[in-house]
Amino acid sequence: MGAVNRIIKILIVDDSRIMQNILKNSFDEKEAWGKTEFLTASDGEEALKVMDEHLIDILLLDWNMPKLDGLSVLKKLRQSDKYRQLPIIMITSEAAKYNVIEALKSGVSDYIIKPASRKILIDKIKGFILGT
Amino acid sequence: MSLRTKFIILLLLLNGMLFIFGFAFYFNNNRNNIIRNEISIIDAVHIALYEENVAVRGMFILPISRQISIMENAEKNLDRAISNLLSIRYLINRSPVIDQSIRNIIAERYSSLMSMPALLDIADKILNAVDRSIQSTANFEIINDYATVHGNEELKIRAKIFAELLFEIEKNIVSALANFDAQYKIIDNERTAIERNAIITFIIFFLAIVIISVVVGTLIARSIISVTHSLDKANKETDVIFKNIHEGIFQLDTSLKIGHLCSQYFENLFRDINFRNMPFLEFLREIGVAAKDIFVTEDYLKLFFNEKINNTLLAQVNPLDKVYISILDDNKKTQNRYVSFVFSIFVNADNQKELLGTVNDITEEVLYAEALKEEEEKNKEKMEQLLQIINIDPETMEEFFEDSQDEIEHINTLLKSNRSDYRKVVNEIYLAVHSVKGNAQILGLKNIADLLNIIENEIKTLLERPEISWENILDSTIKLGTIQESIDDLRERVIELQLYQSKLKNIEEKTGLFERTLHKVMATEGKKEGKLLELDYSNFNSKNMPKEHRKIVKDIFVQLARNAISHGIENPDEREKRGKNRQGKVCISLKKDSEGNMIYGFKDDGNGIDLEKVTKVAKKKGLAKEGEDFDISEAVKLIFNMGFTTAEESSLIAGRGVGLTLIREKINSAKGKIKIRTQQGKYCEYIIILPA
Amino acid sequence: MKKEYIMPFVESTQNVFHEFFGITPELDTPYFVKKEETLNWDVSGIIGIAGESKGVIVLSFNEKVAVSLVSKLVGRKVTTLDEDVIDTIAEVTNIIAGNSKKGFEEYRLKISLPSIIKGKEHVVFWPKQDIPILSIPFTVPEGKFMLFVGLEKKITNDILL
Repeated sequence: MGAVNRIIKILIVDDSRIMQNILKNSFDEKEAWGKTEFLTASDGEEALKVMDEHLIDILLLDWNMPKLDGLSVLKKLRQSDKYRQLPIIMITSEAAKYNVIEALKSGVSDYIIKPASRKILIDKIKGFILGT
Repeated sequence: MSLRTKFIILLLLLNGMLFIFGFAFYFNNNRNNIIRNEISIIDAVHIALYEENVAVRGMFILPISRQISIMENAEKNLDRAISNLLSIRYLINRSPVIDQSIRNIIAERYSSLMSMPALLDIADKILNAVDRSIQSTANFEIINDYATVHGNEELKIRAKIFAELLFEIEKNIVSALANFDAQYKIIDNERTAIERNAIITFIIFFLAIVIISVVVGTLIARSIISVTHSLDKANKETDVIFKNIHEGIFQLDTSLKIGHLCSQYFENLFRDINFRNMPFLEFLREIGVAAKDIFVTEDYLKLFFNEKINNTLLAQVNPLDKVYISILDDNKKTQNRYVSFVFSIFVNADNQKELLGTVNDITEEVLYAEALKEEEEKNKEKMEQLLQIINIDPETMEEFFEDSQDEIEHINTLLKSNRSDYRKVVNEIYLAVHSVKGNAQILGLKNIADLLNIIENEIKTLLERPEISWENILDSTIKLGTIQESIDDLRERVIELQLYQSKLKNIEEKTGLFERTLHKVMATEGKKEGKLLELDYSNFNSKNMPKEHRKIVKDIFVQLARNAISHGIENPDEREKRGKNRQGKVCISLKKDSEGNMIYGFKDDGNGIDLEKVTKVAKKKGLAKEGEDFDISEAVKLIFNMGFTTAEESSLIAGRGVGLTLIREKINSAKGKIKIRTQQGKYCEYIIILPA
Repeated sequence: MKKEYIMPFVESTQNVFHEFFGITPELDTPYFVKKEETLNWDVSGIIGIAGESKGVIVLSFNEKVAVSLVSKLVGRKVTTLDEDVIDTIAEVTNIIAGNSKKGFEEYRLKISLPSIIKGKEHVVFWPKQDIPILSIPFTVPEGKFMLFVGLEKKITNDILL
């Protein structure tokens, strides 16, 4: 399994612009899977709109956001066939066990508790893209 | 092969055997019938022959026409019987002898009855020659009489021929019968043989089948037994494991009910609960787990049955990895314990998913961890306080203590006087806290200042209430107590610090550490080597040593001391012989030269240098010519500069071990110099010059 | 020491007194004393505390109050601190301790069976020599009696958390 031929699109959903930037900056120009293009959204509704317009490979999702929170976005996406298999990683400060369990119940693919180590984030995403 | 297959094979075997027997019997029967049929076909020939015989015999006495018709019938029967013989298959196939016999019978018949048509013809003519009235009743005698009476010579002649033919035929038939009997006997014998063979074959076949079945059956039965035996054993082993394992093991089915199988430990732990078949969540309720944890547990456990879930994540979010429960112990008393539940999914014998649960009593670990944490917190706090204190001078610190104590006592007095105006009291407390906090902040006593800040805020919130109750006063008083305790803690730190500082002073006032170390080394080594020693440090004061020299000089002196003791200084008897004191003396000295260098001296009154050895070795090394002699200073120079080995150095300067080489290196790296002054048999002195 | 550890005892004392003696004691403001100041009482019931917090709680009476309370209870006049009076005080302390247990359910606290000391003796149970001992004065018509609380400070459990 080597690099992928096309550009990987990652959608970062977080109401904090700073957090969006931090996550974006965690990635190098070229990672193990090749190049990455980042899209961002500041709340759940915006996220869904972006997903309608673009074909996203990975979704990085915060929990606490205005309008539509992360958990609701997750549930909504898993309801449709189109997004049932989409890798969705929640990156959030909600660290309590029952939060994680709730997210797992709703079908999250993986869960990272802020602060997120760059290495862990890259490894997880690599796992999803390259299927390791 | 599974147990089920083995059972099926065994069953098939038994059924098969029965089938085979039935079939064999049927087959046997069938064959017997065939033989019987075929024999009766052969018998039919005999009967026909016999009938003919009877007919022929009667031809003389009984009415000829009647006999003829009987004979014709018999002929027909015989024909039929003979042709039937051809349908015999089984016996012919089984025995060529029978085949031959039957052919014989057939052949006989044809040959024996060749005269028959002639007879019939004559008989016909004879009958036609007589009166119609006697045709049906005329026998041979009558015919003859008739012929005589009527003077029918032709008739008489015919009658005679008739009689002759009859005799011949009779003879033939008798012979045929005899032949038939003979053949029949043969056939019968053969048949018996065939039947016997068949029975033997049958028996052999039967036995073979029985033996094979028994053997196979036994093997299979044995293997079944051994499997069930293994199962039994495995069951017993599982039982033993379950009885003895120090973990609570239990199972949950898809509906999260507790199953029957569980370990003894689990039963003991929850002896007061009838947990079998109980829903696990209800069980958790029974043992006192908090409702919100139970809620989360339900979701958590359900996730296990979901194929796609990441197992590592699942292990990390176990809500039951530390729960506080209530159970009854042996004496029916309620005990509170910490336990840890861990789950994993497995597939059971019916191919269904189940959860395997283990529970462990982790009370000790938890309490230990808590105690440890508390210890750590205490130590951390202590350290922080110390750091904060040492920056404050003692008088100021003392002032702080006095002021704080005053404030607290002022409040306490107020409380003692039982003022009923609670608000005023709390207000006073507030002011006191505020004041002490201010002082603490100024002094940089961060920890206490933070504590006071929190308390201050809490009291402030309290003052904002419309009503202040007695309980609020209690609360504020307790907070005051906390402040008192914290200040007392701080006091303790200060005392500890003072103690330490005074100890430090003490050490410096006594004799230096340096001299004492050297003394100790000499005493230890001296004792080992059985030598008496004295250390003179009247010209040495470690206080005058620059700090950078301490280690290197210590190392060097210690090494030199060791060398001196082990090799330089003689044992007491030898010394006495030489006119020295029994006690060896080591002098260390320290002075400063005009350029500010430190000059360290180490002198022992031992053996000194061995000039002869030096010369010898030098000559061997080619450093000296034959006949050349060294004096001491030259010898020393040589040793220093000419790369003598450690061993050689050792024996030359009466030292051992590390030797000058290493010492020299150390001195070189400190940019110093070393000189040796020695007199053979008298003393050896090392002078080490180190720049300050 | 948290007020949550103490309030159950305070409330329990008031309830029990109300039930048995028909009076609800009045609470004076609490204050701190040194251990020496706890000695001037004639009879004391001592309740040990263990678990989340460790220490003792002491209910102290002087002869006058004790005798007068017991007289009320038994219906006849008692004049000295005899065996019966001691037993009664013990019983009362027992009940107070028992009733207060409910208030501790949430905390990992255990309380021991009370023991009774008679006489102006030194109470040796104070946990650490120098902890400040909280005294809570109760006032009844007969006089005053005290509730002393000496609980260790546990860093992980103080008000900062």
